Amino acid sequence: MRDLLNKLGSAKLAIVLFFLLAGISILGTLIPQGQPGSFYLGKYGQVLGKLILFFQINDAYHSWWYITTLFLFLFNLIVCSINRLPFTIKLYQKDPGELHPEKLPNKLVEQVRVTSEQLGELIAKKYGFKRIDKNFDNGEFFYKSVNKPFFFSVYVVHFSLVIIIIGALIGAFWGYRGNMSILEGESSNVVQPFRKREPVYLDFTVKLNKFILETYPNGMPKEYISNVTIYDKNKTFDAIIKVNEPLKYKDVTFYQASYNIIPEFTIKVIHNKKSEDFRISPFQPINIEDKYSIALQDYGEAHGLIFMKLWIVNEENGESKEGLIISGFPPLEVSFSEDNLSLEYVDLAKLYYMTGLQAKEDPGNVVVYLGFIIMMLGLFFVYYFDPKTYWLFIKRRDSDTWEIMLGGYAKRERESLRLKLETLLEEIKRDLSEVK
Amino acid sequence: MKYKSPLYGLLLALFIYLALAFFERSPVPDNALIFSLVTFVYLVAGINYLLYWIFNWERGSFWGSTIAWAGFIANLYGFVIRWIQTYQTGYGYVPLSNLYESLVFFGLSLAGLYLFWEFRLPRKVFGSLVFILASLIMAFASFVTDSSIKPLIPALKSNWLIAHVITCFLGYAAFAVAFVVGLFYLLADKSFLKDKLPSKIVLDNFMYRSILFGFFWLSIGIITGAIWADQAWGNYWSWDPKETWSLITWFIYAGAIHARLIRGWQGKKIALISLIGFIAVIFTYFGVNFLLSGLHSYGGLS
Repeated sequence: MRDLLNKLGSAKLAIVLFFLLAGISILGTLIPQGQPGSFYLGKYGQVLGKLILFFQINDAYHSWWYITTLFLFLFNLIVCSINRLPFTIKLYQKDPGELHPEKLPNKLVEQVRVTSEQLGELIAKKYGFKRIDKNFDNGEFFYKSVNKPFFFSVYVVHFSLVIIIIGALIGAFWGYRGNMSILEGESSNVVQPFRKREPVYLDFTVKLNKFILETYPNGMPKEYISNVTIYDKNKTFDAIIKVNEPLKYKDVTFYQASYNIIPEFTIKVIHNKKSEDFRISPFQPINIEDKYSIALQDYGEAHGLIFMKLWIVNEENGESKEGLIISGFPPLEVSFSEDNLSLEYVDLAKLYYMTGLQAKEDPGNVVVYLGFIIMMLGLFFVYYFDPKTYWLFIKRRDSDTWEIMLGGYAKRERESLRLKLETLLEEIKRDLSEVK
Repeated sequence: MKYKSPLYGLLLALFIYLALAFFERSPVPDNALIFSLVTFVYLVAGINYLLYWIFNWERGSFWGSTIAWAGFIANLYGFVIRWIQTYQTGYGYVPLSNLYESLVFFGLSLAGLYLFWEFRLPRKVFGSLVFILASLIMAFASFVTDSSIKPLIPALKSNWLIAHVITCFLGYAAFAVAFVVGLFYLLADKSFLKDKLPSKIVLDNFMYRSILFGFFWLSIGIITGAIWADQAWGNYWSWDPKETWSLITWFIYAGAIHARLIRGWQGKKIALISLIGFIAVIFTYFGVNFLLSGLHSYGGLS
């Protein structure tokens, strides 16, 4: 058990997981996602198609193997961080004076000819070194630590990833996203979530006053705007919802997602030799003498003609018929067992806009954003504040010769540290040539 | 003098600007023309660096650097002029919103990043491949994509988009530099490169610093992209192919950084990852636009 835990939290596994995740993430971008099963069997053949469905590659990022790998990654991240923390604390607390000057890392040694007595103080003061109160065969020992707290920067980044994943999980379990379609002039409080059947009923209503579609002179869409009014128990206010400018009210955020143009037609109905004009739309069936109801199933335009597909039901005996009426064509005669109907296209009476809002409630959102901020800070710390320690040891060789030893440690910039030490030594030598 | 190249480059870039302004009789000459010229300037810079590298022509590194600076500055004012021209056409937006604009910005970031890093480089052979790459990017923009200024669709009207594009391309540019250095690292022992490169330690360190810098900006690019998606579509992550590929790229470089720190991977291994990582970058950028469809499809050719 302990052995397994060690393996799952090993740094080796972390490296494997990075490249493994990179590899398995590709699958879902190559194979179209979220199509019906028949699509895969048709496109990839029976064998490959069945394999795709069996391994859920049709919904790769929600499949058991992907989620498992992600959680393994998360687990590994946490265990690795905890395992390494004591090591980092040790580094942080390490006393720079413990080191013996002969054993300085990245050591550079140089002999300089200077007669001045206070050489140590001089250099230390100029470059901000601190004295180490230890005596090593009459030499003076100094150190300088920079960015010490930033030993912990990587933990900030790791922690932020955990926060983001927690935020995403909160959203997945306690939040929803869904559609809310409202016709101009109408109100609604119903949201149809994407992944559930049961609609969500808001405790306030949204009324669409007007939908505005702005276009550029060349006809490209410029702005989609829903002008809405929110009606709550003791509060009513107007608001505008645009793409990129969502509206937030009571934990629910509304986004401008889509729109539709809904027509209302006038048709002429002759029944029992009586002729009458009716208005019909996809949401508004018509009723004829409480006996027949007519619903608009489909409509459209082809070759400059408007067609409507109607569904006519005899409410008394349930008998139903379907038929097509086309603008400019003779009336459609529908014969039922008892009597006949004649239906004729008159005109397009009106166009309504319908806005498609997306409503979202995500209690994890704040957590995710917090994670984003922490991650950016952490990465900034990691990149720009690398902890380093410099050592300086100077010792008098004889009356006019001093030996200077420089050493340094860097957490990340190990290779450029040497260059830095060399430049520092050059600078010190230049200073000393002036001191003489 | 350290700043001789940028200074002469600035003068050369000003000369190009004045010549263009004179021929077009306008203080804001056509931006697409400037970018086409920059393609050529980058190519000449790359060739100079190449001559320096292959024929040991010492002045080549100075001229390469100077011409590259001229190209970078021209690329920069090309960007500003395009920005002005979006206002002249009445649409008014920061020119970072279609494939053409992102490509010329990629060229700008790559040239700028490399030139600033070059100050600290002991030898400048990298300029050859960096500027040939930059020239290819600009040529692709000029010849293949549509350079006309078109109004923005509503989803693209967001300040987060600007932050997203700038941060992502800083990251991509750094990865491109890491790719070039990685390539040189792998070829370092070949006879045609003997004695022409800085020491392997310097190469390795330069490569690692570029990857770290790129990773920093790519992470911020992904985050700003997520925030933008949340504002526009109400969902910060939707496993759209482009998002997924940016994550794949992120995993690859994160792997490289961690492997180096905890497992001590260096040199050849990191160089190889920098090549693979850059292939992932290219696929994230072009492959997804051309081969796969999704939310980012407005980045396509038309």
